[in-house]
Formats: sequence, structure tokens, C-alpha cells
Amino acid sequence: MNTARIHPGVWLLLAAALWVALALASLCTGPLRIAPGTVIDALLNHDPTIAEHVVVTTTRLSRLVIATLVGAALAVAGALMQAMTRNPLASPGLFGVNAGAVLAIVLVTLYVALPPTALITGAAFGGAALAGTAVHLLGNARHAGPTRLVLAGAATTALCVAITQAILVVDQESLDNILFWLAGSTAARDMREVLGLAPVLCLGLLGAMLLAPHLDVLAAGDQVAAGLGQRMGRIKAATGLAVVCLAGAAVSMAGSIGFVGLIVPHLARRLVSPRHGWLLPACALFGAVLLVAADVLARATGGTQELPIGVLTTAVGVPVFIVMLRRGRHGRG
Amino acid sequence: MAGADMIRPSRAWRFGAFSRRPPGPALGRLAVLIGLLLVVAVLSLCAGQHWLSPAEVLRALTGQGRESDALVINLLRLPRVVLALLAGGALGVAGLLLQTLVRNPLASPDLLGVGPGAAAAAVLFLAYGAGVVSPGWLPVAAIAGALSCGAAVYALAWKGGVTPLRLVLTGVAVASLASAVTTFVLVRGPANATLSAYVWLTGSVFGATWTDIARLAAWLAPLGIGMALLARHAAIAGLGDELAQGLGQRVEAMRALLLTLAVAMAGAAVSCTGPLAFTGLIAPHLARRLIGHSFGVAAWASAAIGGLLVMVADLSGRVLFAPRDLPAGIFVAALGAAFFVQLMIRARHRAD
Amino acid sequence: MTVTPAPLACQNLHVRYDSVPVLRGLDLTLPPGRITVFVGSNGCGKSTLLKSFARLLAPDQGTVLLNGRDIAQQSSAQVARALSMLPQSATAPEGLTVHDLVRLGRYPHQNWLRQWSREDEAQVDAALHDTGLSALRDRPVDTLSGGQRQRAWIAMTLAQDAPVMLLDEPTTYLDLAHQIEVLDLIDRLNVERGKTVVMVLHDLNLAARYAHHMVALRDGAVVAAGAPAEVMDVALVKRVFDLDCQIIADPLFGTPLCVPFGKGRRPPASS
Repeated sequence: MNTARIHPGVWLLLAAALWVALALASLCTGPLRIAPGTVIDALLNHDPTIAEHVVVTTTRLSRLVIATLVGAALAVAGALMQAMTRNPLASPGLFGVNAGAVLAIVLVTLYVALPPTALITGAAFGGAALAGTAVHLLGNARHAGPTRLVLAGAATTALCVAITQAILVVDQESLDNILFWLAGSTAARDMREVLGLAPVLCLGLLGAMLLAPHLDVLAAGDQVAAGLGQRMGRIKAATGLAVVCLAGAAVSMAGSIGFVGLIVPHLARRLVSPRHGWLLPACALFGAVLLVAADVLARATGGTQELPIGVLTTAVGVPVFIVMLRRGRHGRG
Repeated sequence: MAGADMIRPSRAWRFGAFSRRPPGPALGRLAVLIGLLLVVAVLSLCAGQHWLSPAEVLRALTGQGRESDALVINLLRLPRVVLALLAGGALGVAGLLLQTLVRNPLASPDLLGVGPGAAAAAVLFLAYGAGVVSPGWLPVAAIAGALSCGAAVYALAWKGGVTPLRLVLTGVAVASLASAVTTFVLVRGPANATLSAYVWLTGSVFGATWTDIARLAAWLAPLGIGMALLARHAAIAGLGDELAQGLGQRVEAMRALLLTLAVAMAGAAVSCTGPLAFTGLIAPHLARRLIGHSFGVAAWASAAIGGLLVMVADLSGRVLFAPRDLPAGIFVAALGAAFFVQLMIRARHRAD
Repeated sequence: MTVTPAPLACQNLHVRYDSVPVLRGLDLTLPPGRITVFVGSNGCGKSTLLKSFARLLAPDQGTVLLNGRDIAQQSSAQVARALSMLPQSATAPEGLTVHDLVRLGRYPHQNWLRQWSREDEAQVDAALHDTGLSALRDRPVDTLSGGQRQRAWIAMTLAQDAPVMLLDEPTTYLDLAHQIEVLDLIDRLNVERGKTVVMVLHDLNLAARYAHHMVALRDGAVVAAGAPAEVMDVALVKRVFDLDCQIIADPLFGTPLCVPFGKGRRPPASS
């Protein structure tokens, strides 16, 4: 128990500082170990003839950018979903949003040989939206408890995964390419593609921050919110849109990465503040830190082949989730 | 005592100390279901790359027909049909049991990590064990995976008792972990294992042998008997902990027992066919709609519908995309999608 | 009259809920064949007391006695044959019919062989008849009105054929007409079938009307226990509910009727 509550702003600064440190580590790590001095040199006095500089500004930088943006996006999407469903166990991974996006992407690559980024992203959005809507409709029957929503999410995820698997079995060529990326990866992305998607993500993040005060009201409950004059339908729709943008873009950038959207909002809520004005930026920063750290770990320990990030976040996320479950209120009743 | 009410004829099956309440009109519907099952089974035996007429099938089964026909039937098609029946039936019953215990119609064996657990074990086996041990051990590995996953879920959800919500959430978490393990092995494991693992993951009855069936039957026989003995307790457990205890049931013990039964049945089925997702979710729903909500009869119907589902899926895989033979799992997933759309529409109407 | 042990009693009962002490050293004996009602403000422990009697909660200290013997020493089946419990928010599985639900009440009397004996059938028919649900036996429970649904649950506990019936707030969420309907039914079951009834009710006046024996609780201790006419007075209401009132005789039934007033709106000075 923290008796002296640290001001939220301090947490944000700490997280930002941590990010900078990890970013440097990320740029240094890899099959080719590059010294920190060289990294800074590459960023400030870029010399295209030095191989290390090139490595830093192309593959490593793109990985860093992806990890940061995707981590932030998933964490914020999770926080938004938890506010919208008033369920602290909501997250894009558990509620089928990620799986829907993946399915849509697989469908697209099945029919289009070399799909442009825009098409992939659009498909990811579409898939995320459809899956999210399905879970919402299925899980929110009147008088239904939280179990129903969780089960609806799990069932939708399973459905999307099953269909995805089916397609990949039939069209075996796609299998190997897609497989690694399905597990979540920050690798092999052209910087241009990343820059193409980045605005969408940033837009989503911005939209989320704008929604922050409304989310505090929404979290109080339908009747309270209505009583306070909030136009709940619009807020929920806007939040849903933000979730789809964030999760869809995240998946199309880096594949399906689980549990970030579940764990980070909880941590942020406990450490920083439950008020969304502080919570959302905290989520973004913590999420970015988490994923960059995971990325560094994946590359540092992987040897020649790296560990899929999605596996890493699940391996860490599940024990944390179970501990939270056993300790928390949702454990009882 | 019952004077003023309408006089109802006393319907009961009683012989000495034995007494049962007959299922009433549900019995007729169950008979129709079984009839349908037989029709589809025969159709399944007729269909394929080389179509046979029912008469030829019958002759082949009784040993009178052409030798080539007998080969096709007895070695290729009949095992598939029987495996589909057994596995589908087991998944149907396991699904109904779980939905009753968790008191939620969206529960299924996969949620307790049965599917993913078996998958992880199978994939690990295919990647690292296939060279060392005979491939015949694959189903054993799978069932071990399913059982240990189920046990882990129960143990982790236990905190002075198990509530349905905590069980479900823990199940989802452990299932995610098992899936992550599977993905990890698929990505990092030896390349040649990947495809066969992936095919197995989709679920199919392709290449069924009589050995597989014998093994499955050996597992399912005692489990089936256990189910028959414990059926009346399942209905009580479905009322909720307080009511069940008030009616004299030892709640935690019975829940552990019934869960083990469900996980074992589903695990056995999945170990032979791969995870046939949704069979355990859809079959109980359809059974309850057709037959009613009384557990005993619904269990029979769920078994029949589960078997029917897998048989139809396998049939579709063999026939619809001939000459390709697609895994049954794909069609079960397709049926699952249709089913979900329909569920959504219903839920929407009810919420309005 | 032979001396039979009281059906339900407790001695020095201490119960904790989530490590918070709720009941502190209660001694109670409940009268057989009568209707006992536990009253008290929220959090006083009345539901906890009922659940302890039903063996849904284990005592920290002290014992609950069922028919003179420690309830914890008796098997679940034995207890289920001696007392039935209807918890506060009972939900029936979707689609279950009334008849199927009431049938489940026979569970403690059945085994694998005997699942529908003549006795079972007779009890179920009688339960349906006594609760007036015979015509609705094939309707799904979730299509019934609030009062009918509650009657279906009562029919289930009736079919259990236990001499003691425990009911936790059987009238919550019911409108006034249905509340009276359910309480009248319980009263009738007490008179016609001789059931010992133990209920938790939050409405003090309804409790006073229907109870033979009222137990008032405050902060986990018994403040008063006895017939409403003897026990219910202004001082009791003040102690238990922290409320001022005037007690009059119910103009219809003669039982004590509490007319409360608080700190806001006061009665006009004339009285």
C-alpha cells in the first residue's frame, strides 16, 4: 500500500525516462551489437556509408517505432474497452477484436497477391469492428452477468481463430509467411509502411485522450451517466471507433499481441490514477515501455531466431492475470 | 388431494425398486434424431471419390460384396464415420455438462483449456517427440495435455471453492497460454512438423484407424457409464451452489467430479481428432432447443447431435470440394459461424 | 406430549464473513411448527444467521443444532431431508419447466435406482396443487410472473418434504400484491402442513403480521425474541432500526403496526 501517493505526473515522467533508456537499449540490441555511442551518432550525425548507422535508422528504428506505437495503442485500447464495458477484464485480445483483425488480414492475403498496406489496414479495421460488434451483441443481453461477456469474447475469438486456421490449412503457401507474424512481431516492416500507419494510430490515441473526461462519467454506470445528461450512445460509438482504430492498426502493424491491453490498464489504474485524464497517457507510456522491453528481450535471448513477441507477452501476462484474478474482487461470487 | 385438478394419467417406468420418469414427447424427437443419424451415416459410407449405392454398402458390410468395395468401406470410410460419431458424441455431452456446471450457455470444453491444452501437447509431441517415440503415442500425449490443462485451470481457480466466473476466466487465461505455447512451437520448432501440426490443429477424422477407435472407445466406455450414473447430480449442480447444497448435494466434490468427467470426455475426443472447436458449444444448444432442458434426455440428444455435426462436417469435406479432402474442422467452424449469427439475432430480440 | 428437541437452535454462534465478524455469540431456539421471522437493518446479520442455520456458512465458534444434534456432524442428505432452503435470488436454468423444477426438489429422497417413485410423483403433484401451479406445470419458469415464479420455487422446496423451511427474503423484487400472495401461501403451508418456517423479511410490518415468533437483530446480536405483540414496541424499533415511531394495532389483523417518522418530516404538533 502506498501511503504517500506519488503524483500521477511523476509517474508519467518516470515512464518516459524509462522509455528513453529502453529505446536506446533497443537500438543497440540485435544480431549486430552496436555501442550506444554509435547509436546516438547514427541518429544525430547520420552517415549512410557506415553500415551500423544504416541498421540503426532502418530496421532497428522501425522496430522501435512499431513497438512503441503498438504497445501504446493496445494498452489504450484495453483501457477504453474496460471503460466502455465497465468490465475490468476487457481487452482486445480477450474480446475477439485482435482475432477478428487477424482473420480479415488472412482473408485479404488469400485473395490478393501482394496487398497494399492500405488494404491490409482497412481489412484489419473491418475485422476488428465486426468481431467487436459480435461480442457486444452476443454478450450484452439484459440481466446477463459479466460471465456472459467474457464467454462471448472467448467464443468469438475461438471462431475467428478456427476459421483462420482453416484457411491457412487450405492455402498452405501463406502459412509460413503468416505464421510468425500471427504470433506477433515487430520485425520486417518497411519504415514507409510504418509511417503510413502511424498517423492512424496517433489519431486514435488523440481521440482517446479527448474522450477521457466522458469516460469517467461513463464508468459510473448507465443510469448515472444518463442522469448526468451524457449522450451515451455517441460516446460508446466514439469509444468503439477509437478501439477499432487502435487495435486494427496495431494488429496490421505487428500481428496479434495478447494481454498488453489487459495488464497495462490495471497497473496504470493502481499506480497512477483511475481518472482517465491521467490513466490514458499512463497506459500509452506504460504500454510502450512494456512492448519495447519485450522486444529487447525477444531479440536478446532469441539467438538466431527471435522469440515471437506475442508469446512473450502471453507468457508474462497470464501469470499476472491469474494472480490479479485470485486477489481481486472478481474472484468472489 | 389432487381432486379438483385435472386427472393426469400416472406416467412412469417402474419395475420393482427401479423407477424412472419417461421423457414424454421428447422421446419421439430423440428417435427421429437417431434415425437421422443413421441416414447420414449410410450417406457417409456411400459418398466419396468412388460413390457406392446403399445396397453395395450393405453388401460390403456383411462381407458379400466386391472385395474392393469392402476395402474402401471397412478400412477407409467406416472408421471415419464411427470416429466422427464417438468424438462428436463425447464433445456434445461434455459441452452440455460444462454449460450446466458453469450455468452459462456460452461455455464449451475449449474454454477450460481442453482444446488448446491437447493442441499444445500434440504440437510439442509432433515437433520433438515424433522421432523419439512412435507416432501412435500422439493421442496419449494430447489427452495428457487436455487433462493437465483442465486440472491446472481448476487448481488455479480454486480459492476456498470455485465460482463459475473465476473458472471461466482462469480457463480463458490458461487456454491463451496453451495457445501461446502452440504458436511458439509452430514458429520455433522443426519446419517439417509445422504443417502436420497445423493440420492436426484444425481437427479432422482423416486417416482414422480401428486402433484409434478402439482406444477412444476404451476411454469413453467408463466415462459414459460414469455420466449415466451421475446425470441426476448434474441437473442439481446446475441450480447454483446454495440451492444444490440446500437439496443435500456435496457441492464442491460433485463439481470436481463432473468437471473431471467433462474434461476427460472432451480430452479423449480431441486427442483423436484434433480440436473440433464448437462441437461442444453448438450441440448442447441444439439439443436443448429440440428436446428440452431436462438434463438426462438433453445429454442423449447432445451426444446424437454432436455426432451428427462431425459426420456432416466430414461428409462435406469429402464431397463438396472433391477431389480434395478437407478437414472436418473447417466445416464445423463454418457451422459455428452460422450458429453465432443466429444466436446474435436472438439475443438482440430478447434484449429489446 | 413427548419432549422432542427443537428443530433448530444455535448455541454461542460466532460467524465470520470474509474474516469480518458478523454474528457474535448468539443463543437461539426456534419454536417448532411456528413461523419465525428475522428482522433487522441491513448488515445486522439476519441473512448470515439464516445461512448458518441452513449450513451454507460454517461457524467460527459455537454450534447449530438440527433436531438436537450438531448440524455439522450430519450428512448433507440427512440435513436436506430435515430442512429446505430457498436462497434470495434463485435463478432457474433457462427453459426449465415448472414440473421439471419441482421434480428436482425430490433429490434428497432419490438414488440412482429410484428416480421417480410413487412417493416422488405424489409429492410433486401435491406441491404443485398446494401452490396453485398445477395448470402451469409445463410452462417454462422464466415465462412466469414474479409471484408465480416464487411460488414455483416454494413448490420445489415443498416437494423436498422437509419439516423445516428456510426462506431468505422471499418477497424481494416482488410488488405488493405478489408479496402478500407469497406470504399468504407460506402461512397456509404452516397451518395446513405444519411446516416450521424460518424467514428473513425486510418489511417490519409484514413480519409482525405473519410471524408467530420474531427475532430482532442488531450488529450480530439478538436484541429481542418473542411474539410480535409482546416484543415489538417503540424502544425496539429505535434500537434495531434507529427510527422513531408509533406502534398501533393493525386495523385489519390486530398485529402491531409500526408507523415510523424520521428527522425530516415530523408529525403535526396536534398529536
